[in-house]
Amino acid sequence: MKKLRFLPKLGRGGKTVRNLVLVAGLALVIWAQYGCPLPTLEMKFRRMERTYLLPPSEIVLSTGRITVAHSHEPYDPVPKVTREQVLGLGEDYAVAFWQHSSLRGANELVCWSFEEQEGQVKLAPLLHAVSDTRGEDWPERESCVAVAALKLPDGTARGEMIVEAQEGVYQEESEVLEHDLCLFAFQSRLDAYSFDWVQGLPYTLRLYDEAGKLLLEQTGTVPVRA
Amino acid sequence: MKKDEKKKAGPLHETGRSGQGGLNGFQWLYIATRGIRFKPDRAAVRAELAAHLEDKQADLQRIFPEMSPEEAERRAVESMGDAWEVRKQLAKIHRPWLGYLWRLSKVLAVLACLWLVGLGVFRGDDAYLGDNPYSEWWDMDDLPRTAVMGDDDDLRYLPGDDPDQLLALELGQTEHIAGQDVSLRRAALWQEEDGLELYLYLRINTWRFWERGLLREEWMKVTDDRGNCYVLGVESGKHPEDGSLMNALTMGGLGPFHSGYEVYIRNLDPEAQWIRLDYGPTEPLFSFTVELKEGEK
Repeated sequence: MKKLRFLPKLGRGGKTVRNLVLVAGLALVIWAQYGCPLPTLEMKFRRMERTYLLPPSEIVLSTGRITVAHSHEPYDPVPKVTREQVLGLGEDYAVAFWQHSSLRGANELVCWSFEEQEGQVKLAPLLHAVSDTRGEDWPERESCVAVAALKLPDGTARGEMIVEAQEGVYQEESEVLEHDLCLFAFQSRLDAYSFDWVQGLPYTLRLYDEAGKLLLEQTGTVPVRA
Repeated sequence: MKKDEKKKAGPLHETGRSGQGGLNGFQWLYIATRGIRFKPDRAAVRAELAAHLEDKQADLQRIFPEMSPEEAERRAVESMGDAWEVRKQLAKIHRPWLGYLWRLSKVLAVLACLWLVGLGVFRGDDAYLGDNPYSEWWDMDDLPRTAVMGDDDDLRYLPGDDPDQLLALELGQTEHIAGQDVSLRRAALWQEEDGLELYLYLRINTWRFWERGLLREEWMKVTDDRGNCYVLGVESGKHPEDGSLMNALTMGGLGPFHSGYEVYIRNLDPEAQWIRLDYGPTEPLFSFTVELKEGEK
């Protein structure tokens, strides 16, 4: 074979570096072909934010951090998240992110604008279900729809949220969680429902301080995804 | 040590580390190169040293023809120095990890190449650009869709002789957001039977292909100087003739490093002097304004 004389003759070190650079380049292409997977939920969330040109928000809720105390058994172990989800808080919006278990293209990001909740405690529904293991009426309640209440007034210790649906009234409680938010997990009484069933329903939100004194009562409709 | 090597080495294991006494050439080479852990290196060094030994032995026999081959070998070995000292020096010089890394890099490079070629064979161009017919490596023509397809949409933005084309602007307004360059590339205004139709072509560029920017229709707000707000998507209604949406934001080409989008407004106010695009979930992340002056082609 005719030698390529224009190429510099490399020693072993040079060849090693050349090969490793080649491997790094090819690995990048292979990584791209597999949809550029990232190792952590937070990294995936941040990438999704940048994809939609959003500035980085403050992550206030993510898988493993959700602990919801319920009105029925407040000292019991709390619901667990069945799907990986993140809730970020921006300047005038909240970003809810749900990671699909296998398809990267199916990941979802929804922005809850606070423009329509001016002067109120902000509500942001999560995109997918959280599970609830209270086991009172339902032995395994695994598909609660969660609504986060953000930007709570100072001194709030716990909250209560009442949602009025056609089939009846749902009432849930939540302690104030890390990052100063309440998370209310509602279980539908219907056999078939979607994960956004709570959106658009009229609600009443009551927030209390440590002594049980009512700090705020707010009514409205749960924000609806555009 | 292999069985035949042991046989050749003879009483090597009995020699110990004291002096050269009784070492033949093979034994000396064995001891001197044993400290090199990377086998290909060891073989190469051993071959080189063996050649030296043979040269020395041949020289001795040429100078002293009466000298026996065994004696010549013994003297040649003696002149090579202490085998254990040579072994120490060679072990220090030849670091094994560099050799192993070199070999590993070769294996990885071959595997990566085979993987890529394999994917290319099985999936064709889709392996690299996806199966979207509008995908291309780069937006070469600065127009929506792909240049190779010769789509009518390409021509819509280019200045032509058609009297119904009122405007064809090459804008190039750019904003840098979240590490991506969003630019309004072109605008075209057409007079149709039902009224004015405005077409805008936006492109997002980034070298970070793993987070190529995307736009959402519901975050795009289109307004004009007369206070009109043009709703995009399903809520804008359907065109009476072809049933397509009146106003929309649609994908207009994509590649690893760019996303193209078209905004079309088919119920533009004829009195509008300019039109403004504001994009964002709440406060605009970027805004572009297009002056609508007829005759600018």
